[in-house]
Amino acid sequence: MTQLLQTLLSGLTTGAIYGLIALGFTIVFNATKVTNFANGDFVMMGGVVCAGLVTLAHWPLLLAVPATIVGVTALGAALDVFGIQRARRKTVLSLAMITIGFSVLYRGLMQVLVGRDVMFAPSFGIIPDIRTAELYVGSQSLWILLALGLISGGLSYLFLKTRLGKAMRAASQSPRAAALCGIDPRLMSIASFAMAAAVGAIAGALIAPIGAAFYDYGLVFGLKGFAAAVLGGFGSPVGAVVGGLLLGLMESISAGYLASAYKDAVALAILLGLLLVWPSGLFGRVEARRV
Amino acid sequence: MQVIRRLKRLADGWKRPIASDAVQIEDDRAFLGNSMMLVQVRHAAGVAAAAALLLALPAQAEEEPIKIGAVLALTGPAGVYGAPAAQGLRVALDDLPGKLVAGRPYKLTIYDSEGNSTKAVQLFRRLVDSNGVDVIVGPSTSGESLSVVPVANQLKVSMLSGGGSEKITNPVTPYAFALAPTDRLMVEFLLGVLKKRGLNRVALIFSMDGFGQSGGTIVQELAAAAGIELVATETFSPQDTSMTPQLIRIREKNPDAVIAWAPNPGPSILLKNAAEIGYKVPVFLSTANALASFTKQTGPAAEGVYASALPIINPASLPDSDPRKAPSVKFADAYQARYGVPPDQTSGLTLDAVLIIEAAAKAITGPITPDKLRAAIETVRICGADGCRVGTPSDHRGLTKDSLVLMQVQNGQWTTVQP
Repeated sequence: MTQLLQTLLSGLTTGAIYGLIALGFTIVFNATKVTNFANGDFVMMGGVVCAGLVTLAHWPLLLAVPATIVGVTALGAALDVFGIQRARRKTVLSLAMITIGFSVLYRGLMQVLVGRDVMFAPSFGIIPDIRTAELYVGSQSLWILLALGLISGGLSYLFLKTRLGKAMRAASQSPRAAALCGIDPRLMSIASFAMAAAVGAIAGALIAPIGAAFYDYGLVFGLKGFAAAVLGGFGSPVGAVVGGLLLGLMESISAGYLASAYKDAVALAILLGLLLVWPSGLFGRVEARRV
Repeated sequence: MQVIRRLKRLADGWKRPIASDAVQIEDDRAFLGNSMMLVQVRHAAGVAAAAALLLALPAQAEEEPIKIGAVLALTGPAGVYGAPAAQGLRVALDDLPGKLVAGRPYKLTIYDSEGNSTKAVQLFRRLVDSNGVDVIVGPSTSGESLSVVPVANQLKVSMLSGGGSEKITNPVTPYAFALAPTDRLMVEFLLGVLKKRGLNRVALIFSMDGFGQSGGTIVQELAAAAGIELVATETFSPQDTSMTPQLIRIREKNPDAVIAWAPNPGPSILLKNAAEIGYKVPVFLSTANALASFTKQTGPAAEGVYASALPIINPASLPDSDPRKAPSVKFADAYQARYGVPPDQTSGLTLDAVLIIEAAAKAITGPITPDKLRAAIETVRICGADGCRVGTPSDHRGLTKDSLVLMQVQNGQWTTVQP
């Protein structure tokens, strides 16, 4: 029983990370209808910059984390300003290509700026570890779960209740109509990329102490987060969180109870199966169009 | 700044006529490939020799340098192996009397493979095709080495791999040699230690990459014969951020010890996870993890972990009668003086590489060719960082189990302990 619980707890932590990454996809998709393939690299940069500042430049963590968030947010906004906004033809494919291009750019940037070594950042601390007789929840895991709760709650509030959130959604549904109502779709687009980058930076900084930070990890983060977002229903913040947690749990259970060699395959096979039953994901709205 | 300077040099290089400065062009061309870290020409008159080389004057044959190439993972996840190896190579070569290899000048070219197999193969080809090297040190890791073996045999240039996978030299191929003790040797050694300590029920966990899978398979193959019962076998992906589920599964089987077979940073994360869930069990690692950077990355969670290792980490502790002691201590002192840190096993391996090349070159009369060098390396006998090597045509590694020692992390340092 405790074995199952500990396995599930480990899965929840991994899943929370996937959830945070999936939230990044959701924010950008909700505001621009763009699938941002550089999203995994926001997370990677969060980890690499934070670990680099702490281990190489010897900054205190209290300073390194905010600096990381600010820096990565700026880089995320740059993707929109210098990439998405400048696209001559804004088709789904060309915009996705731009994000892939920036993903490669970010990877190169981190290699040059921070270096090509695997790094670990120190644990955040403050929150104590929870250790009962048989059960353990690490302080860093609690940080991750806490961050997921706060960020997803905040985003839900933002998108559903605030003027800014409503404006962002409006701009994505019909940029022209939104513009006629006095919403600047460009501003909304920049805001969404900056927010996704900030969330990614937080996720990356949170993972750096327990996993490793390395310039090449963005692709795996992006893939897992994308799968989580699809599982939850692309575009739904609640779905992103639930999808991420589910994916983490599936991986953890298949590593702990089935064969650990096939845990990624098992998780993705289950994902495929679920999508066959619910093609739009768990919380996705079925898009119907009148013809 | 360095990048800009290099770009500028590159631009200048293009403007110049190609034959005027062979060395410069070579440097720039290498930079184009973005993998070149350093080209060092340690020659009394490097440019002149390179020019003479281009003309291939037979009268100057005696002056022709031995061209040593190296494909090492200077950066990337395997950078902890490759970067010290490059430093070790330089120290070992500078250590030679008069900075001559067997009385001949040498030229060293090092490329960075980033631990990437595809890149390692490309760079190996480049060293042979463009740099015309006689012998190549590297690649650093088993995965890269296994990809390079067929290329070495095709291009007919010897490789001295730093990889521990036995598949590199078994089956024996003409041009593939290896420096590190095989995973089979390490496994035999570790299983012997476990048996001796009465740790009979053992769990195995390994990574799903070349190094992990090779070692993991050998443990499964040899355990029964050594009288060790494998109660659990787990794996993880090289980029996993948590191995807690696997550890929990292992803990449920309650083994006496855990063998973890993976390159860094896998075992770092594994030990951290074990500390988190409060799981205390003796963990035994492979030689690949017995590095100073490993204890730094893992922190307090590394305390008490064991690894099969080579004495180069602490050669002074060897008895004076040991033939390994003299060259290893000399190398360790020179390395410490130059880089401020003691050498580790990967830098120690390059000492052996240089000793092998030197001994082989001594056995050759007339100009050195890759083929002559290969034949000489095959029967070379040296005592270096990992024991006394007896090369034969049927054994391209020439090491025994005696070359290994058991080390444990005590107070954040790898320390030799009784097996």
